[in-house]
Amino acid sequence: MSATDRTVLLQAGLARIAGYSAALVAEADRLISLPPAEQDGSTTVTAVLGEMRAMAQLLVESRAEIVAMAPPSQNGAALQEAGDALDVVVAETERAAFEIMNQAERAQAAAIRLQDARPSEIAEGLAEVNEATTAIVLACIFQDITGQRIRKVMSTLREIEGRIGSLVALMGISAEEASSTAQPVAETLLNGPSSEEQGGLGQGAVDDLFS
Amino acid sequence: MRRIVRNLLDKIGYKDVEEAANGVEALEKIKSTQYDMVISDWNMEPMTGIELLKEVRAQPSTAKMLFIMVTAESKTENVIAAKQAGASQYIVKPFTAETLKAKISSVLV
Repeated sequence: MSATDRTVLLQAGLARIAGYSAALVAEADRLISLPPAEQDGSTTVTAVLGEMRAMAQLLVESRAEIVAMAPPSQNGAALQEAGDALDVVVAETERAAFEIMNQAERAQAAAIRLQDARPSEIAEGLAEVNEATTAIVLACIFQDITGQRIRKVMSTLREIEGRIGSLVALMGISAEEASSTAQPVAETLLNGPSSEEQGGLGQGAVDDLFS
Repeated sequence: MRRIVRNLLDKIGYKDVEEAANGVEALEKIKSTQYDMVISDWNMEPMTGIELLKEVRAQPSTAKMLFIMVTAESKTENVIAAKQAGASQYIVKPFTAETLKAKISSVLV
C-alpha cells in the first residue's frame, strides 16, 4: 500500500469516526433531554448517558486536534515526494556506479596496453587514461545532488517523526507501551550498514571476533 | 558489487570466477559444479548470504567449502552469526583489494 493510499484510508477513517462521534453526542443529548417519565427514573441511566456523551465528545475533539496538527493531504504529498526523491537517488547512484566502473576498467585496460606499448603509442594511451579519470571525477558529481535529495528526505522524516510523537502523546501512549510493540529483529539479521555509533564494527574488530 | 569483486579478484590474480545474482542461483551452481571458494554478500534476495552459508554447510559435498562473507552488515551479532554458521572469513564493506587478498590468502593456507 502506498503512502498516498494510506493517507486516503486515514482520512476516510477519521471522517467516519467524526460522523459516528457526532451521532453519539446527538443521541446522548436527545436521551438526556427526554422528560423523566420516558426514562426509567434511574439516575444510573442518566450517568451512563453522560459518560457516553463525554466519550463521544472526546473523540470529536481528538479528531479536531489530529486534523489541526497537519492537513493529511500535505503529509501524503510530502511522503510521496520523499519516496520519489529516494527512487531518484537509487537510480542516480546506480548510473554513477556503472559509469565509474566503465571508466575505471577503460583506464585499467589502457594501463595494461601501455606496459607493452611502442613509444609512438604512449601518448594515445596516456590520453585515454586521462579521459577515463576525468570521466570518473565528473561521475562523482552525483554525490552532491543525491546528498541534497537525501537531506530533503531526512527533513521530511524528522517532521513526520515529530508529528507521530505528538500523536502518540495525544493518545496517552507511554514509551514503554510503544516499545513493547516494536518489531523483533528478523532472523536473517538484515540490519543494513551501521556506523561505529550504531554498533558497527571495523575490519580489525571483526578479525578479532574471527580469530 | 559483483563487478567490483570480480575486478579486484582479476587484479590480484584470480581469473577463473563465476557470478551468481543471489543465494538461490549460487546454490544451484554450487550443487552442479566444484568450486574452491564462495565469496558472498549477506544482503541478497531471494536467499541471503547467511542462508546460503547454512545451506552450503548442510550439504555433505560442500560442507568444507571455503566461504568468505563480504558485507556491509557489521554488527557484532552478524559477525558472530556468520562465524557460528561456519564462515571462513568475514570482510566488512568498504574494503580494499589488500584486505580481500589477505583474507583469501589466510583461508587458502
